[in-house]
Amino acid sequence: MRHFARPWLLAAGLAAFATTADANTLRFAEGQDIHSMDPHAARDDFALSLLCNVYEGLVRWNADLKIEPALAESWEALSDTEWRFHLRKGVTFHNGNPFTADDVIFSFHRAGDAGSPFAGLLEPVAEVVKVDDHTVDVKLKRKYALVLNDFAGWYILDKEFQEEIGAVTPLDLSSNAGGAMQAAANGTGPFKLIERQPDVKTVLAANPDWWDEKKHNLDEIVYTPITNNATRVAALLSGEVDFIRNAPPQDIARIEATPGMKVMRGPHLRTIFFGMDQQSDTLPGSGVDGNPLKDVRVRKAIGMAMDVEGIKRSIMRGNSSQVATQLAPQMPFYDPSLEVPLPFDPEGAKALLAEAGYGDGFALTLDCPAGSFINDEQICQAAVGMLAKIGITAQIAMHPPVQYDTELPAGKYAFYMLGWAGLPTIDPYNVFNATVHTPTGELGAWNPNGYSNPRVDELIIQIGEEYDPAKRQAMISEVLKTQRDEVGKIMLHQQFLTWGMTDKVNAIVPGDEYTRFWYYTMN
Amino acid sequence: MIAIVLRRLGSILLVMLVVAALSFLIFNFLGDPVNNILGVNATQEEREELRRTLGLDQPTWVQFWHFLERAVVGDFGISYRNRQPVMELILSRMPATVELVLCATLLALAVGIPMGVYCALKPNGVVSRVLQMIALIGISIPQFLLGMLLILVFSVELRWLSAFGRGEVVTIGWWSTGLLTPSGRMALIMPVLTLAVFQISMIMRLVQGEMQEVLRSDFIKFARARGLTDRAVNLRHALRNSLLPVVTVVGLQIGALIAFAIVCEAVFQWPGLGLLILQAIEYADFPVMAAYLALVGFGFAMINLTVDMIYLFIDPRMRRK
Repeated sequence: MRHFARPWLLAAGLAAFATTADANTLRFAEGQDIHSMDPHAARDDFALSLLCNVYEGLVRWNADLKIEPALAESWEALSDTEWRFHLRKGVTFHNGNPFTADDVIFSFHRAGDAGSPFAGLLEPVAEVVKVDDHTVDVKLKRKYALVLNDFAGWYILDKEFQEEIGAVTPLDLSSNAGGAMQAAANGTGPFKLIERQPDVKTVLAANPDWWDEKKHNLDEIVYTPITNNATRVAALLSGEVDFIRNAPPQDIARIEATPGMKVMRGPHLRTIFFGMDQQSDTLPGSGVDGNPLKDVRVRKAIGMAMDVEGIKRSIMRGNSSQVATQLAPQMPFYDPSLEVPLPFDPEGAKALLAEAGYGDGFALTLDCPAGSFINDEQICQAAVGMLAKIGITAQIAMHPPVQYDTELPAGKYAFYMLGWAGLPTIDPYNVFNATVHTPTGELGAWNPNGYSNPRVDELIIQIGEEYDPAKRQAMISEVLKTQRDEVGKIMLHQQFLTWGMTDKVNAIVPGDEYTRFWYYTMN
Repeated sequence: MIAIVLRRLGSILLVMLVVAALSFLIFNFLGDPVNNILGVNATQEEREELRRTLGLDQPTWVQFWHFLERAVVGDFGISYRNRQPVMELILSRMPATVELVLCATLLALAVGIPMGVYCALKPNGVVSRVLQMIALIGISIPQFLLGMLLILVFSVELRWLSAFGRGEVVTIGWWSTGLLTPSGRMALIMPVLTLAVFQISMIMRLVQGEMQEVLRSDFIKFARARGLTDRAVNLRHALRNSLLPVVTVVGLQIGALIAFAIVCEAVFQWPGLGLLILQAIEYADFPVMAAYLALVGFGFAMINLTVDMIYLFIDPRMRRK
């Protein structure tokens, strides 16, 4: 009854809520905004994880992360380097234009031509040729096993619409050509854009003419970026939003304890590890001659010093699971027989260090990102303590993610934390070519001065070209085993996703973090 | 007189050059946006190619020179993050911040001045002591803490106010305002309070201090001797004479708040300049950062110039220097 003192305030407050509380409006908050509605403007998994609701590729990932037909109904290999795709008929874009082979060819050039950020993704494709209005042939430059995987992340745009708004190329940041897609979108997907204010809100509505059978019951999705973690959680708890992805770890308990709220969990494809400089002849600042990290015994000792279960218990609050190799168990071609992590054994580790000639220990700098991975800072701090127990004095250098992502590939760090999920390809090949292959300029971008083994490099190239799953499995397992045995990385754990939402929402939590709203329902 | 103004303008130009140069030096340590644009899967070659396209491979002084060349004609480039021209972007975010800051300042003046007057007149009263204590808390409490507390009470517990955003806004020309809609006005309450609490405390203490000083001066004694009422003495004579420094400080504060209302905007997801610059820093969005810092430098330089000019008019001694 004390509310009566301020009836005007209460009434106005209720009015503010009422406008957004329609039955099947999913109000969704996220830490950042997507930077454009152009699905070719950046190879940014965050943006694509939302844009997948508006645009579609020839194929798509289903709820279990298996490839399924989307804008292509079926496909067949004509030869090792030529694929034929039969396009779905009767599909229309959100503006009513029909979807045809011309749109596919247009989208190939838009995304794949030089200057586009997606040129790298479509690099193995030499040409896309129109056979008839609903058939295209894809010619490859070489044998390439992951055409379908990569095509799932390449979205098809409407040629006429793009020409109409003057955005036939992805935005060129140096000249402002093609910048019209900041707030415009025309796809074929289950939801269409109806309103967009950059950095404020983006509103999607269900596409009534969607070609696929509708399983969701959402009418509208209101997506609001809320940068501050605490504010985002407050917005969920106060009922202003229904769904936040990646609830901050410290708030999970609070959300679960609130009536009408829940946290849905799922394993993430990302595994977290420490990478090491195994090439340089010296380790500056180590206080010892040479580079101790070149010695497999030292790397093994560091691995044995890591109390991964302790990290899971006290830092991750149970939301992680130890891994022995770089592949998360949900990744295709995961090999359970290799899941034998190094034992946690500080005494054994010390003995190994002494055997390697570093009985008195050495010093190193542990470079760590601030906010790229779940609890990254705390994990690094814990690692410093664990290293100290075996005589290695580590000093933490924290970096903002943007600096980290610039300096790490440039080879400025000798001992660093990294996580890899293999997105958007969702195949070991992506993990290997980025973080395991010896750096060449084209491959190994995230393995500077890191692990290097000629046999492994050779296998990685073949894994990219081999079509036969059995042969791929054998090669992938060999790479994983070799790197594990040579301790190419200090493996820690697989992260879990923790998504907070009201009880009304039924979501799916796939390992690639994509919000596939066409599987969501609301009560 | 004109010579003085010209000299001042010259030094402003110098200040802005130094600000811009310093910001370019900082960029070197920030990392670059290449990874954000190309994604983690880009090859080393693709990264180098984009750096070349954006001119990030050039030495700092060359980048700086290109920036100056374009900035003189008002072209600050395209935001890497928002993918739209920087000036357009800054102008579109300005109304949110200006509205927030002006509302907070008005509130601070409306509350702070009476509080200050009261405390100056009755410095030893119980109410004064309570007010002074409140002012001390207001000056010491960090903005983000106050903002979060307000959210916790009014959004999470009471559910009266929205925890984020501006509510519905009305667009008039290029200006957008939340003052014309109920949800827009509701959305202003907590951010304005958060920003105003510090200012209220500051204004109150300023007014109190100045007024106590003035009340001791001879002309106040004469005014009392002339038999004027307390009200006339206190408000017409004492308060007026103590307001001059308050106006100066408040003016500078408005400038500082428009430039740096970052914490408050981040807490309430207020889509203004503060949030823009914060996100630009996180993304290494150099065009936005460079333009923003240059404009802020320009704004402050202009405020200082205006203040100097006013002093020149008010105080003849300055003119003779």
